[in-house]
Amino acid sequence: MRKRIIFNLVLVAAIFYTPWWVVAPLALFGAFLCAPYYEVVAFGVLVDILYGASSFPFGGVYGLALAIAIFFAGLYIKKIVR
Amino acid sequence: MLYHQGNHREGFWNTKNIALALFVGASVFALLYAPTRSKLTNGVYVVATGVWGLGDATVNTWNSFVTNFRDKERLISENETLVAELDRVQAQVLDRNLLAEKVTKLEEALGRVRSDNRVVAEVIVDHRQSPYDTLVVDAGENEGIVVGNEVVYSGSGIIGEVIETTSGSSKIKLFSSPGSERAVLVGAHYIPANALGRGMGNFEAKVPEGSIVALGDTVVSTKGNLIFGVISLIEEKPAEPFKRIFFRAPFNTTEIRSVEIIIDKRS
Repeated sequence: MRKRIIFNLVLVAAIFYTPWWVVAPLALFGAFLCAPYYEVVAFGVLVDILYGASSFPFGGVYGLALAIAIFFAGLYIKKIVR
Repeated sequence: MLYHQGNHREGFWNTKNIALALFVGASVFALLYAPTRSKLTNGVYVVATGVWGLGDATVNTWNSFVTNFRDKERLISENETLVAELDRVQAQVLDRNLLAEKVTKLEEALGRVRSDNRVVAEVIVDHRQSPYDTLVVDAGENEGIVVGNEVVYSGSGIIGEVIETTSGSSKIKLFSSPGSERAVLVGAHYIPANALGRGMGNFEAKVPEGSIVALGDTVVSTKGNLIFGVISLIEEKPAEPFKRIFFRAPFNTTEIRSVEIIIDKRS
């Protein structure tokens, strides 16, 4: 549980201070480490609110879409590695 | 077998996964429905601007701490270089001001005075950080900024437009973002074209075959003659009825620290 909380804090800090291409692999690592990583979906929404706008194609929900993909990828990777 | 399938389904649709599905549904609705998204953005930005400010303050403190340990002679030499650079830039600004004065006088003589109101804003979040290639600046509705305002860098280089505002901040979409399109005028003959963003301050456009364009020609906006970029490559293929031109902003978009937002344009 403590590992999960620390990882969440690291990911939130990464969303605010690092480029997106650092955040995405970090989130995937979290999805593998803490599967099922439900929080990643909320972080995807946070990315869309912080950086996106509804005027972008598909309503600017790239963060949410990528987060859902990462959530399932984490589950899948965990399953095949186990 | 049937029992097994039912059990598997129940396994996936447990309380947590149902809660997740409901959260995803609510999030999609909140993000796609503009008024909800706007309220969410306003709420998040109350905290977010503080978090980004804290990051800047930490970096500044660290830099000033590190400076104490740097070589004194190196600092003196760096200072001398910066002073020389400042002198050069001041001379350029003086030259530019003289030119601007001449243009204004000419416009007055022709009975066509152009002026616009600009708000200077500091960049809080660099576009490299955002998956949307957006900038976040520290001026918003309180300063009179509205969605659609054009954003200029260094006086006359147009870089993007405001796509979302909160009371104290704005999001700016760069025209050079991949997929972004904008009408422009190319070269000395003001040939109309559509500039397609290619990322990092680069653009591509097509002009009809036989158009007179040359390397180094400027590409300007259709209104206000704001500079989009300078042509760096022209590609012409015999099989194509057009010329493909590539141009880039005359500055590095990653080094943008402050911008000017045109809030009231009169021409």
